[in-house]
Amino acid sequence: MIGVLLVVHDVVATALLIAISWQAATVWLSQNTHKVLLPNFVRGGVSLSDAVAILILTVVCLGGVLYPTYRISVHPYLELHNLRVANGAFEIKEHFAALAILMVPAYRQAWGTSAAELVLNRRALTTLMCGMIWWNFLAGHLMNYTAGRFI
Amino acid sequence: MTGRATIFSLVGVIAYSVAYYINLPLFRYYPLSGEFSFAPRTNAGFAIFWYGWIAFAIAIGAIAMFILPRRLLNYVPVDLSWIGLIFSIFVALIYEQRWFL
Repeated sequence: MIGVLLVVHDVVATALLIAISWQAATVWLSQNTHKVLLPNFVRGGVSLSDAVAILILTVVCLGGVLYPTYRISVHPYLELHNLRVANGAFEIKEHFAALAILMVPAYRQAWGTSAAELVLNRRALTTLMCGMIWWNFLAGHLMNYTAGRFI
Repeated sequence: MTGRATIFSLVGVIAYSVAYYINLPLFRYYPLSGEFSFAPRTNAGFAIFWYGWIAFAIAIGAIAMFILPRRLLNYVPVDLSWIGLIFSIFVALIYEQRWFL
């Protein structure tokens, strides 16, 4: 069961990573370049932000379900063998996941309107959240590798 | 003008940083016994605080979102949300640097 959840968590996290990376890249394009390069359905607009918000909630909830298993089976091993970098990377991942889920309302609000004064807000929030999600993705895979390699 | 959702996020991320920095979870989860508890328990194994920190942040964010009057929200710049997020990211990195030293 945990194995299946881990795979689902990874698949949804990959979808989230692709979606928010795309959005973070497009949000920095000028409005004109934006329109020329990207068709409507993939433009970083409301529909993509809805998808990202749902994916963030899904990934963090799945991570929350898996978290006790990590704390019981993997975390003690990391401490016992002094794998401090892997441990620290995962601790940061926990905080970033919490911050991402707490920022979803502000992120939705920033993308919910096309008001010009929200452009900086949209760019900054999307880029920061993209950075946190990349960290979490890489730290999660580092942990999978560590668990698979040593445990 | 800053919306209530943005206030929730801004207050929430700061409350989360405070929650783990001074260990102020709303509740604890004991995975070995599968129990949630508002108070520390002995003989229940180790506790997971992460859920409780998030719950604390959500509670404080929700209170701020509903309590702050609309006229006060007009004075809160909308860009404070990402500035607050940068602050919280730095706090997390500083707090966790102990693993890398």
